[in-house]
Amino acid sequence: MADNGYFKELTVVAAGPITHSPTTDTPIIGIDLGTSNSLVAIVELDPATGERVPRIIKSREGSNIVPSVVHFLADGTAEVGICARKQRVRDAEHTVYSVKRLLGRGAADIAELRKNLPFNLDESSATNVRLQVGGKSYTPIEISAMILRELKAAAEDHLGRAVEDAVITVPAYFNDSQRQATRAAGRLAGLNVLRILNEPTAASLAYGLQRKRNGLIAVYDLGGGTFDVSILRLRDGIFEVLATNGDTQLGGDDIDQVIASWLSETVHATYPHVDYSEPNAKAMLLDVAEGLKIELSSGISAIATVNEVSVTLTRALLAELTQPLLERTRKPVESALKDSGVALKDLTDIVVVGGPTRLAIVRDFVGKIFDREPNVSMHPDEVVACGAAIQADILAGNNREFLLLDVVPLSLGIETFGGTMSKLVPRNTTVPTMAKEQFTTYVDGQTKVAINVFQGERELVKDNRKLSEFVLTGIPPLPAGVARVEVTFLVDADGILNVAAKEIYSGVEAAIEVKPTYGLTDAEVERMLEDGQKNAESDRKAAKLIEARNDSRTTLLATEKSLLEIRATLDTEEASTIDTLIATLKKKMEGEDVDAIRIANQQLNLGTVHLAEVLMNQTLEKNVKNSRADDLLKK
Amino acid sequence: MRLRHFVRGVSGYNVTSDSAFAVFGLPRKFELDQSALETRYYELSKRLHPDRHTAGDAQARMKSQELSALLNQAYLGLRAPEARLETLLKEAGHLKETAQTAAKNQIPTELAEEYFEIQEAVMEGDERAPTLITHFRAILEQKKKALDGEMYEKARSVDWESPDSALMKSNIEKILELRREQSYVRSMLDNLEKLGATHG
Repeated sequence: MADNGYFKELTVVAAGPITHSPTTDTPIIGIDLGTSNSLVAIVELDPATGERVPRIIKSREGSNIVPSVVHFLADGTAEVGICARKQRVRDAEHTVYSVKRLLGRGAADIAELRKNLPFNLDESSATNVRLQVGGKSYTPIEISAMILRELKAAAEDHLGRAVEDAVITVPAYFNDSQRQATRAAGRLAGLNVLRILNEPTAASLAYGLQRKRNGLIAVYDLGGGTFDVSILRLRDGIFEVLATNGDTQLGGDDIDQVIASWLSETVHATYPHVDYSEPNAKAMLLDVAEGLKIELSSGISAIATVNEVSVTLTRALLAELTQPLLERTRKPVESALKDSGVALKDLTDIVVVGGPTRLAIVRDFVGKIFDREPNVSMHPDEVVACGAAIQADILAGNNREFLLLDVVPLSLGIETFGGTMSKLVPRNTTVPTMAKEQFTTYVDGQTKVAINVFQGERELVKDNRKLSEFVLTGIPPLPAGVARVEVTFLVDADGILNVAAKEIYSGVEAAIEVKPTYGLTDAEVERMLEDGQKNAESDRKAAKLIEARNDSRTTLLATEKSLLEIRATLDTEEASTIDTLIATLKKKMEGEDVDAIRIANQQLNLGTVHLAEVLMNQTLEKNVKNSRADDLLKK
Repeated sequence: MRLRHFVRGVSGYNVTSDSAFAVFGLPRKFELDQSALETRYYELSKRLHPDRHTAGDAQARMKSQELSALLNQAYLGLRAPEARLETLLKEAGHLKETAQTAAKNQIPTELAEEYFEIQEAVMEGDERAPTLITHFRAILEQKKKALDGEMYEKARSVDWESPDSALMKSNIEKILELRREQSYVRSMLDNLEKLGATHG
């Protein structure tokens, strides 16, 4: 790994390389890795206008959107997208979705969420959630990587060349663990993740490109599973995020859930024996709920049939059911405005992003919060991916006009005496940012100091998110309190924390051991990546074996058929040579040596050249005779 | 040499300076040209930000993260008047005590009494509690604003380039005193917020 100077240790063990360099001359794609749907986009030159514009790349299924759904087939292979989504109800047990809600989270974080998940979780690990599918267990990182791989393949198909570099978006309110997990998923999918970009910021880029104006904008981003609000200042190509806030457990998914439970109650009234706890039934209810929701985005009432019971959902009732959910977006909006120092009346644009903002009830609510009609000119599903592509274009050096200045969404701090949180980087600080803190020893000759890093706004660390534990080792043995270890915390442009340490008294660079509390360490990701490559290799090998056997089978069939017809016309030597070649090939085909099979097949092919000629001549002669007969008949 | 590479063509700025003012090439004063600060910040950001250095080697990219971080910190220290005053005091070597010890030093008793009364009302489930909280919050906000005004006025009169003269020292002393009082008002506002949230 390249030497980054002072931050050397941490780039190896802590949070991965701080900055990444694009692979020369390959296209950089922008990816919106969503809870419900994912998209990939790229900026291309529009020959008509001469402008560089973002375009959504169609999936291999021919759609702009790739549902973030993975379905596992009986042999363990995974399919991603629309085909997988169709299995949600048919084969709920082997279909996983909304895994973004589990990324970078521990079992304790998702206790509430678990009740609603129609798939099984492996609960053997307290800090790493794993999904149980068909006797195998997968981390949300692995599932996300499968979705990313599908997007990468779509981009490669579209561009006709290999794609390695990507910008991947995350909810602005994602914490350090969730960001790291997203980056790990990208890495696992074989992507060089150049930037983790906040979704509302990405949306503002796309909006800014279209509007080309200065102003103070609020982005209200209600996605499939997360809610973000960001306040930005746009001035002369600079997109400065002033404040961001949100709720990473609130989205369109929850709207489906409340409709589903309303459905289940309604049907239950007629058929009390119907059980909706079983995965397929749960998934079916969610599907019906989603259908009703979509119908109500423009209509005022929608009808569905569940277990032969006809149910009608009106927009008014939907508004009532979702009121508590939407109300949860109010506080984050108020907090973001307060932190930004911007008065509501000074906002110039209110931009809504995310599928659920298509719903009239959501737009009405946004209108109420901001005291004016939101701007709905942006495509709610595509704007984030387009923004990611624009940022990719900036990183590629093709766009020197735009620059994003983003912030860290949640305060970062360390545990101090009494379990209190000492904030080092307050929320909404522009990144990159740096904080230095000195630590000392409490015992004579002490050579190690442990530092616990947390993220959150509460005063006691127990109420915040533990990110990792750093152990400073190699401190020179000195009397208590003499050693001074200066720790530098750097939050990089991805909003991810990096740490370096130096003992001031001796000038010794203290080593840092990092134990991430959640998710995977870089080493684990690397190992999985290696395993993946090995698997891919063995997969390729298996495929080649099948191919060689199939080819040989074709040759064998043709040869045996020919021999049957014309053996009599061949001399015995030629016939016995061919018999030997056939026997050899059959024997090789039983083995797994692809090359040996191929060689034997080739030899049989060569050995039957004469046979083929004889056969060909016979056929020709027959045809000539027939045609002559035809001619005669015609005359 | 590396730094020069980053800020080529920009003069009067010193990103690695210990003084936030020198980072932007601005005079060390409380009164500040806000739009000049913003323009310079954006200009430097466009040169230093990691997004503009993706093609460089690992060292150059690391350097851009560090320089960007320094720039952002300096900007944060100057942007809002509150932070700016803090920066001026710090750069003049006057901020050794922490906010916590300051709060303990100076407790305006009349405010404390009112706070405890409200706390009691909340605990007892008194229905007047929300009104009392709103009323007291308004008083505190007003007090905070008044203290801000007084502090900023004093800050404007200080010659921060040579803060060690006797007159300047007494002005700074006064600012520090007001600051202690204000930090108490602020923590009381925080507590009031929590009181309102948990029981209101």
